[in-house]
Amino acid sequence: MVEFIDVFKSFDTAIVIDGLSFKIVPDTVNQILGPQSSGKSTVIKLIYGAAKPTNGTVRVFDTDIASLNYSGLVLLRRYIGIIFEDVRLLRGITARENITIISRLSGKSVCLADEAFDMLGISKLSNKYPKELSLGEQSLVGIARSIAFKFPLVIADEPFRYLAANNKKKVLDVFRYLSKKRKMTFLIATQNSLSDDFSTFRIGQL
Amino acid sequence: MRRDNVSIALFFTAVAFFFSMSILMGLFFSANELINDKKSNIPVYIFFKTSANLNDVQDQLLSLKNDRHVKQADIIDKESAFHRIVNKFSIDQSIFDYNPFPYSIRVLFKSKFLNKDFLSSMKSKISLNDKIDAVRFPENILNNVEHLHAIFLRFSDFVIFMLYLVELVVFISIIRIFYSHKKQDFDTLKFLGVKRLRIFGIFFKNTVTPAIIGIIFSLIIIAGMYFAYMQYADVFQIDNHILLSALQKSCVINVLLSSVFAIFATIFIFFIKDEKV
Repeated sequence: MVEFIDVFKSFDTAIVIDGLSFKIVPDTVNQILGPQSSGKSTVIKLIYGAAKPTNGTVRVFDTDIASLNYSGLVLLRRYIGIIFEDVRLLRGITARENITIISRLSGKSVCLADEAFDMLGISKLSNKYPKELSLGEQSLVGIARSIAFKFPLVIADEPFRYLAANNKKKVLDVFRYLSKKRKMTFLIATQNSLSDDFSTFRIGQL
Repeated sequence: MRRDNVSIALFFTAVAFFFSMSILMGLFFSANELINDKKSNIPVYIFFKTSANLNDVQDQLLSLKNDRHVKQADIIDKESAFHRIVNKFSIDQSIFDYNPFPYSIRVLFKSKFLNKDFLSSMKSKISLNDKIDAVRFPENILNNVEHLHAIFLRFSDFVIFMLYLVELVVFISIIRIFYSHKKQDFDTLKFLGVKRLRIFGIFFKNTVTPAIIGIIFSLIIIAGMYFAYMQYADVFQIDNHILLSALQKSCVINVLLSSVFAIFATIFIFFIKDEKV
């Protein structure tokens, strides 16, 4: 589903990823561990094509990302749920509209919107605007957006940064449930291990 | 979607420019019409030889009335010319034992044809008639009016050009701010699988809609002001038809230009700022 083969990424003279290879396990929760500035965010960006590898191959759904043109890349993204490090809720529309607008603009049908809100305990926030929400609540809405379409693959960049411990546990339970019951695959970039039962890949020096 | 401050700024920019440009251009058009009206009232006199009879004069009058350049042509008969001059200069009629004045025709030409070259060519053409003694028009007055008109046209063209340029720059600047303000949302949509064309559609709707609403709002205000002026404040010495026609012309031009500016600025900014992320 996601495979990195000897991937090398540098920005000018700074080497961010040096020969990274891994392959995630489908229908499970995977985690990529690394200290700050070790290139975890870059790994996530390489998967959804916001960054291109300097060398090596990134395969997503058996497709070499480098072989896709921009339209192909946009189409591929319709099968990937993304949880951004900086949350990135669309301003000026409600939490629920943050989900429905994607459906309206990309033609994807929303499968789990209510379920996602219920499971994460944020149903009462669905009609609130992002600026009326705390960062933790915004994070939960961002997570709901990434799972509402039942994407086969969900990638997350530090998704628990703004979450309290109880919400972090709730989200992890939801990820476990969806991977088992809905056959969704998760890849979480994080500094500290979230669980021993997750498939783990390491990046940088730990 | 909640209306944000940049949309409100776009609305008020469209209102401010449309309103001020329409009023200003309405005044320029009216002034231009007024000058044209004055020009077209500069008379050309055709004096016949004393040997010419009324039939000769009427033939010439008919020929002039059929000419597309002529706005109005009237015969001044011998008696009327005699009495006019005698009364004007308080001359004792008894010193004349005959009427020395010839027949003449007073011609007014349409303003759009009226200039010194045209009048000179008309003069040559009319003078071909051997019953005509002389063709005269107030050359100095015509020169002055033409000079004034040319200066006025240059000035109004310059002012309007500069204001339109400012309008376009302001539209581009505000739409650029709007794009920067929305860039993160647009990039997020791209990351979530939305095509750039759909994003352009959202951007276009968000920028052009407030501008169009601003234009419609301004049109309503201008129409209201015009009717209020007609009802209560008819103070300028401008014919109401001239004013209405000038306002209509300027409104049509401004509807077109403001819409084109908003659309052009939107496409231009999206083209130069949007990235394939």
